[in-house]
Amino acid sequence: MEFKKIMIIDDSVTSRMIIKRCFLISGLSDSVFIEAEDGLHAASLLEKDKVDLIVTDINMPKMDGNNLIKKLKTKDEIKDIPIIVITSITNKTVEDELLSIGVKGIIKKPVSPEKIIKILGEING
Amino acid sequence: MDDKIIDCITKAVIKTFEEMAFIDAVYIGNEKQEINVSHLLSVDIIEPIKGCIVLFMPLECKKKLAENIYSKDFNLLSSEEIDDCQLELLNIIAGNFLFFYFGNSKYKLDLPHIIFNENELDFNNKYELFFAAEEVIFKVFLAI
Repeated sequence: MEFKKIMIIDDSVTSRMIIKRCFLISGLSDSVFIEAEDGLHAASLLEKDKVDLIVTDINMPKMDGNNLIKKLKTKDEIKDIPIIVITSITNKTVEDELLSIGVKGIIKKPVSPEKIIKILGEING
Repeated sequence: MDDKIIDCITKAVIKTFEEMAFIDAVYIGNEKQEINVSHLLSVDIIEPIKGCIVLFMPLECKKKLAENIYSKDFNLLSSEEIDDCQLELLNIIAGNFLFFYFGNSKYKLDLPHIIFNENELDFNNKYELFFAAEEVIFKVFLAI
């Protein structure tokens, strides 16, 4: 699977910068990155623009990651796009919940290129 | 004083500084020290118990963190980038603390934010812990 267009959703501009930098270091230097600062903003952008991978935080204002993922999974044209969650709050309970709603991979912050490479490898399995 | 709380917050601070900003932070104890800050960075713990974690970060420490995280000279960074990277650092410290302390329980954090008045930190069960990062002392306030 090729990830030519990647959407990064996080309310922290620093976090978006770090995630993008990690993807670039991981070998996706030709990918195009679209950024959104919350779930509502992301949902609006996804109505106009198709992406190959969605990377989202959970704890965000307006619409959090959980509600965004549930909303996206109801839309036929979006539901099959792989979703990776990158969050500071994760443990086995959170991971099980996220996997049950269709998330492909979970990364605990701070993100690193090694963590990105591992998850992308698992998605491409 | 709960030793487990101190151990968990200490581990969380040291791990986050190292992994996010490549800075060695060292716990230096709980003996009161004067820390000059313009504002405080705070995050509320909502579940499984109520509480908060607050960073008292002097300008020198903020500078080093922002420069390391952004790989840019401090003067080239916007005030939004500088504040945001401290808030994100706090967010990750809080996430690590919750994981170390509560393990696989369900937990929830509010969004990290800036506060200007120390009087807002009116808690009974509180911890004030001091750390040094590259010889600059900063304080972590924890109440749960």
